[in-house]
Amino acid sequence: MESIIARSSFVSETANLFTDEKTATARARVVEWCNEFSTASPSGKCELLVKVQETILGSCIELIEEFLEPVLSLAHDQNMEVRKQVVAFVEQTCKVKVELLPYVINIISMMLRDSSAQVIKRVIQACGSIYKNGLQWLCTLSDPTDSAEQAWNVLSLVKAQVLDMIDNENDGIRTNAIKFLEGIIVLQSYSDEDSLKRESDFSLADVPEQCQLFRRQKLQEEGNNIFDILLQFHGATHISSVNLIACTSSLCTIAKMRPVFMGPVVEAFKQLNANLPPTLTDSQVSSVRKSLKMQLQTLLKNRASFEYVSSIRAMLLDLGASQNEIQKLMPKMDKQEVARRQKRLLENAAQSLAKKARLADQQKQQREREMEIDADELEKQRQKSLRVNEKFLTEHLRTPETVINLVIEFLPELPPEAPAQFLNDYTPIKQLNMQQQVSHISRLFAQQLTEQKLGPGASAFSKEPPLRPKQTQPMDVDVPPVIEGTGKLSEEEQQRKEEATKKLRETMERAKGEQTVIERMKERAKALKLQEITKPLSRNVKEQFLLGAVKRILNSERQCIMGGVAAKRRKLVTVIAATFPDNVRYGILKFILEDIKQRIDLAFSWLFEEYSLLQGFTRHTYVKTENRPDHAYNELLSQLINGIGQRCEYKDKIILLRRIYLEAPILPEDSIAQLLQMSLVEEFTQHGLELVKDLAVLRPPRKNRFVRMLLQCAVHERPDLRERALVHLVALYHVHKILPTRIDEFAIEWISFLEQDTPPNAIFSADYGRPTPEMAWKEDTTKICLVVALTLLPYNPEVYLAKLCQVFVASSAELKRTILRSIDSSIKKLGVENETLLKLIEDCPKGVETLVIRIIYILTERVPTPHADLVRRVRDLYHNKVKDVRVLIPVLSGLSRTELITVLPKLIKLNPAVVKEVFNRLLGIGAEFANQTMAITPTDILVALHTIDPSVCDLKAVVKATSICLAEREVYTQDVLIGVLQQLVEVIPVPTLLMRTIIQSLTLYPRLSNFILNLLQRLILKQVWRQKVIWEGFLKTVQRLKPQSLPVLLQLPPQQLMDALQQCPELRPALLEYAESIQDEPMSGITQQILDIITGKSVEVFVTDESGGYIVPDNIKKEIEDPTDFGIISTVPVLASMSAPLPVPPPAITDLNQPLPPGED
Amino acid sequence: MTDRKKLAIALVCSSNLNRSMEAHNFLAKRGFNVRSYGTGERVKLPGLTFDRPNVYEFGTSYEDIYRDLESKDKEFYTQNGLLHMLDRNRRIKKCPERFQETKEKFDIIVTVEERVYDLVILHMESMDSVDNRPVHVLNVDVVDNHEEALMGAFLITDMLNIISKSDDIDNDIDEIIQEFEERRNKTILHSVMFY
Repeated sequence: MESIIARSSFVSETANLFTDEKTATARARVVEWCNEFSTASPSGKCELLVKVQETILGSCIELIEEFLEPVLSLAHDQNMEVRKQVVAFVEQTCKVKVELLPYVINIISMMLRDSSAQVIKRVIQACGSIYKNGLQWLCTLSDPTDSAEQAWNVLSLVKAQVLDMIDNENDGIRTNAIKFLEGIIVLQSYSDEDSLKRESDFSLADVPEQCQLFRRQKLQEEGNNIFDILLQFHGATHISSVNLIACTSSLCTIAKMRPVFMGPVVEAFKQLNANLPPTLTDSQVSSVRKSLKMQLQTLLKNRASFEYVSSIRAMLLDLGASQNEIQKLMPKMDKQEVARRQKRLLENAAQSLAKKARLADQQKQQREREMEIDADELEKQRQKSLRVNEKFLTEHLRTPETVINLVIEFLPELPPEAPAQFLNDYTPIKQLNMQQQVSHISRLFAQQLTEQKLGPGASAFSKEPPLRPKQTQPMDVDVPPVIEGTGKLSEEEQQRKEEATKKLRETMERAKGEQTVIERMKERAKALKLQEITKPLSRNVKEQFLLGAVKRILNSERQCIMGGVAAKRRKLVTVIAATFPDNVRYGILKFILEDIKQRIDLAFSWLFEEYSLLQGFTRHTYVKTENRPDHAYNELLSQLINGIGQRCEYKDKIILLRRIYLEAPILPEDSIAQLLQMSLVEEFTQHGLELVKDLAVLRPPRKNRFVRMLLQCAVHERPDLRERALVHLVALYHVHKILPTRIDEFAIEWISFLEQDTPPNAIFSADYGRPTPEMAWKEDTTKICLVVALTLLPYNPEVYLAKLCQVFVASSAELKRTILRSIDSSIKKLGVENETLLKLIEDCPKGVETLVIRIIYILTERVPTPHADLVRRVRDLYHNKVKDVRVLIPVLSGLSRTELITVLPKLIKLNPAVVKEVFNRLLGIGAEFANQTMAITPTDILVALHTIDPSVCDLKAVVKATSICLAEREVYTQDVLIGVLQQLVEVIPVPTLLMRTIIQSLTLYPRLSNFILNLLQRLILKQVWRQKVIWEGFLKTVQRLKPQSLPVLLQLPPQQLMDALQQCPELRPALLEYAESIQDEPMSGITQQILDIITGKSVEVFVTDESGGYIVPDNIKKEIEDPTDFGIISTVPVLASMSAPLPVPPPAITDLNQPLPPGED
Repeated sequence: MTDRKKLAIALVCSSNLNRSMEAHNFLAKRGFNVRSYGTGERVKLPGLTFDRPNVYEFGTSYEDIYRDLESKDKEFYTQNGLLHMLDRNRRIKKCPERFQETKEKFDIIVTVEERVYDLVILHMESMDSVDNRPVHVLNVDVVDNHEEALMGAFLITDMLNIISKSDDIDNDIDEIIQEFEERRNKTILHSVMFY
C-alpha cells in the first residue's frame, strides 16, 4: 500500500515529462484504481482489475511495467475471484507483451499451488496460451538473457506441475490439465502435409535450429512422452466420464493437427470402443460413445487417416453410423493420390520395423556400454534395408504394367555395348518360374538400392552412424542436449551452461518439493526396462520378500541408533508405511504399537507423511485406492489412538494421547468422536476434558467442534462430567475468550428451555446421557438446563442476569423454586459489588421480586455488615417499589437504629418462622448471625416492642415477639432486663405489656423480686390503676410477691386499695395481719380508715366515680402530648399517628388487649 | 454455491422459439445469467398447411414474425398458440439467435434434443480452442410442443438449480447428473468441450 502511495506521488511528479496526454490521463486513472485496491470489496477489486487491464493492455501498453507490481500483489488476495482475475491479467499480458514473461511466470507457478481448485483451473487454462506465447518468444531470442533463461526454466517447471495434475483428485483440474497437455503435444511435434491447417499453429518446425535455450529434439521427445502419458491416462480403467470425453477429444485434435500420432490415437480409440470403463453409467456410456463417434467422423475426414480407414470404418459401424454416411465423410482422393499413400504406407511399415530394430540395438548398446561406432549395427541396418527394398520391389514387379514402364523408361539409356565389368560379373539367369524370377531381380535391385541408401529401405539406416551409448539414452531430458553435430558451442562452455541450468532447477525443485516431469519420465523408462529384462516373481513370493525386508528394517532399531542412522531409518519406514499395501502398513503399525511410548516419533513421522500425501505436498507413485483420499490418514490416526488407549498405562496414556491430539496435523471427525468416548470413561474424564479445552485453544480451526463437545458434556447427565466440562468452559469463555458468542448461544438456548411447559425433546439425547424423554420437568433436569448459564453468569452478568429474570418470569412455580435454590454460588461469585447485580436489585422488574429477594439473601449470608451500596439499593427498593418488608430482612444489620425501630412492627407481623429468623438476626443468635453487628441493642429492641402502637400492630404479635426475646436468656440476662424494665417504667403511658413482661422477668429471674417491688412502687406514683390491664397485672404481681409486696400495697390510696382487695380478696388476711403488725410502729401510716378498708367494713364509702376510678384512654393520651419527657421514642411513627386526624379506636375495646395470665409461658 | 449470475448458461433448441425460450423465461426469472439460441439453418414455424411452414432468417425480430403471422391469419395463429408464444418471446429479447454465430462463451450449454446436441458439439469441435476454458454441454430431451416445453423448462431449471449449488461444478457434475437422472428417470447426455 505504501509503495502505491509513494508511487502515485512519484508519478504525479514525473507525469509532466510525458507529452502524450492520453498516456498521462490513463496513468492517472490507473493510479487511482490501484489505490482503491486496498479498500475495495472483492467484487470491487475484480472490477478495478478489469478496468486496469482494459486500460493498460488495451490501449496503453507502455504503462504495464509501472503497474505490474500492484496488480501482481493481488495474487495473494484472500478472495479467489480476485486471484482468478489476476490470472486473466497475466494471461492477457503474455498475449500482448510476452517480453514480460520473466516477470510474471513466477506468479503463475506459485498460483498453480493455490488452495482453491477454481484458481488452479483458471491458471491451467491460462498456462495454455502463456506456454505457447512464451515458447514462440523464447525461440526468437538470438541471445537470451539470464532472465529469459530462468523464465524458460520456470515455464518447464509449470509444465511439470500441470503434468502432475492429471493425477489430481479434482475432476475439473484433471480435465483442464488434459487440455493443457494437448496444447503441449501439438506445440512440441512436427506438422506435415495432412495436418489440419490453423492460422495460429506453431510447431517444432517453427523453432529455429539454432535456438539457444532448447533443442527441437528434446522438445519432441518430451512431447512424445507426454503423449504416451496421455494415452495411458485415456486407457485407465477408472477414468471419469468427463475426463474420458475431454481426453478423447484432445487425442483427436492431436491426431488431426499432428498426423504422426494418428496411429496410436486410432489404436487407443479402438481399445476404448472395445472396453469402455466399467464405472460409467448407462447415460455416460451413450455420451462417451457419441463423442467417440463424432471424433472418429472428424478423423475420417482427415487425409492422414487413410491407412486406418478400415479400423475407423469398423468402429463407426459399431457406433451406429451407416455405410452411406461413412462414405460421404471420406475425403476425395484421385487415384494417384491413393497410390502415393499406399506407397507411403509401406514405407512407414518399413520405418517402424527399422525403428524397432534400432531401439533393440540401442538397448543392447546400453547394456554393453560400448563406446565406439558399431560395425555390426551398420551391417544389421543394411540387411534390414535390403529386406525392405526387396519386398517393395517384389510387390511392384509383379504388376506387368510397372515392369513394362520400367523397361521402356530405361531401355534408351542402356549403353550400346555391354561393359566389360558386366560381362565379367554376369551369370546367365537360369530357367526359373515367374515367381522366382521376380524375387531374383528384386534381390539384385534391392542390393543396388541399399548401397545407394535409396528406396523404402533407406529409412532403416539411422541418419548418423549408430551412436555411442551415452548419446542414445532417449529419455534423458534432464541434461540439456549433448552436441550432435551442432558444434557451435565448445564442449566446456556447454557443460558449464548445463551445470548452471541443472543447479538452478535442482534448487528450485528442492525448494518446492516437486518432482519434475523428467524424474517421472525416468521412472517410467526404467520401469519399462526392468520389465523387459526380468521375469515377474509370483505375487506370493514378492509379498513374502517385501514383508521380510520391512521386518528386517523394523528390527534393526538398535543397530540403527548405534550406527547413527536412526533418522534415516525412520524416514525409510515412514515412506514404506505410507505408500505400501495394507499388509505392510499393518505390520508397521503393529510394530509401533508394541512399544508405542518409544516409537511415538516414528508414529508421528508416518502420520505427517500420510498428511503430506493427502495434501499433495509429497508425491509417491502410489496406488489409487477405492477409498477416500483421507482414508489412510484417518485410519492410522484412529488406530494409534485406539492402540494407546488399550495398551498404555494410565500415565503414559494421558501423555501420549495429549501429544497425538495436539500434534496431529489434522483431526478428522472420527478421532474427535474417539476422544469423546474416552472422556466418558470415568478415569479419563479429567484429562480428556482438559485435552478438549486445550485443543479448543490450540487448534483454532476446529475450536467450534471442541467447544461443542465441552458444551455437550456440560449438560451431560453425569454430574462429574458436567462439573469438569464447566470448569473448562469457563476458562475458554473467560480466560481464552474462545467463541464466547457460541457458548452464550448455547447457554441461552438451554436456559430458555425452562420457559416451556414441558421439557423439550432437544435435551434428551444419548449424547447427553439421558436417552429417554421425560414428560414433566424434574428438578435434576431443570438444574441441568440452568447450569451452563448460571456458571457463566459471573462472567457476563449483563446477558445472563437479564436472561435469568426473563426465564424466571416465564417459568412455572415449581421451576421458580428450583431456580431460587440453584443460584447461590453464581450470585456469590458475582459478588455484591457488581454493578449489574445492584442495578437489577434497584430496578427489580415485575415478576422477579422473589428472585431479587433471594439474591439479596445470598449476598448477605454470613456477612457481618452488608455492603453499603446494597443496603442503599435495598432500602430504595423497599421504599419505592416492593413494599414487602421481607426485602429488608437480609440487610437488617445494615440499617440504622431508627430504621430498625420503624420496621419492627411490620417484621413481627410476618409468619412465625420468619419472625423467629428476624429475631435471630436482630439479636445475633446462632452461628450464622453471631458475628453481625446491629445498630440496635437487645435492650432497645425490647423497649421498642413494648412501645409499638397497638393500632399499628396487634398485641398478639407483639406478645409473641417479646416471648421470643425473653426466651433468649443468653441475650436477655437479668441485667439487660433490669435496663429494659427501668426504661419501660419511665414510659408514659405505661406500655400495655409492661406488667406481663415484669411477671415473665420475675419468673425467669426470681432474684429480681426486690427490683420489681421497687418498680411497683414507682408505678403507684404513676397511678397504675388508671389502665385496667396494667392494674390487673399489678395486682397479680403483688400477689406473687407477697408478703414482701404487702408494704407496697399499703402505699395505694385508699380507694385503690379497696379496689385491689375487692379484686383479690385473698390478700385481705395477709394484709390485715401485716397492717396490724406494723400499726403501732411510728410513721407506719396505717390509719383506721385503712384498716377498715382492709377488713372490708367501709366498702361503699368511696365509690363515687362512675368510671370506677379508671380514666378513658383519650384522657391518657392528652397527658403525653408533651414529648420532651421521653425523647427516645418520640420519633416513633406510632406516636406520630396519634396526632393523625383519624380517630384511633380505644385499645380497651378489643379482646386482644387482654393480658395473658401471668406465667403462662 | 456458485453465484447464479456468474454462471453463464446457454439454452439451445433448433429455432430459438419454443423450448429454449420457455426455459430462458424460467431461468431468467430465477436470476440466472442465461442466453438462448437455435442451431437450425433458419427459423421455422408451422404454417397454415403442413407442407408450407413459415420460414425466417435468424435475426428477424420476434416482433416482425408476430406481425407477419398476425397479418396472415390472426385467428389460426392465436388458436395454435404461436402468437402467444411470440408475444412472450418479444418481451424477453429481440430476435432469435443462431448458436453457430455467437461469440459468447458459456459455462454450461443445455440442449433440448440429440440432434441439437450433435450440432452444438460439432460446432464447438470445429472451433480452434484458444482459452482452454471448459464448457459442459448437457442434453435434456424435450418434445417440441407448448406443454412439453413447459415441463422441459421445469426440468432444466431444476437441474441448473442443483448444479448452481455446487462449489466446484467441474468436480461434481458427474455425480449431480447421475443423481438427477435417477431421480427424474431421464437420460442426460453430457460432454465437456473447450473454448
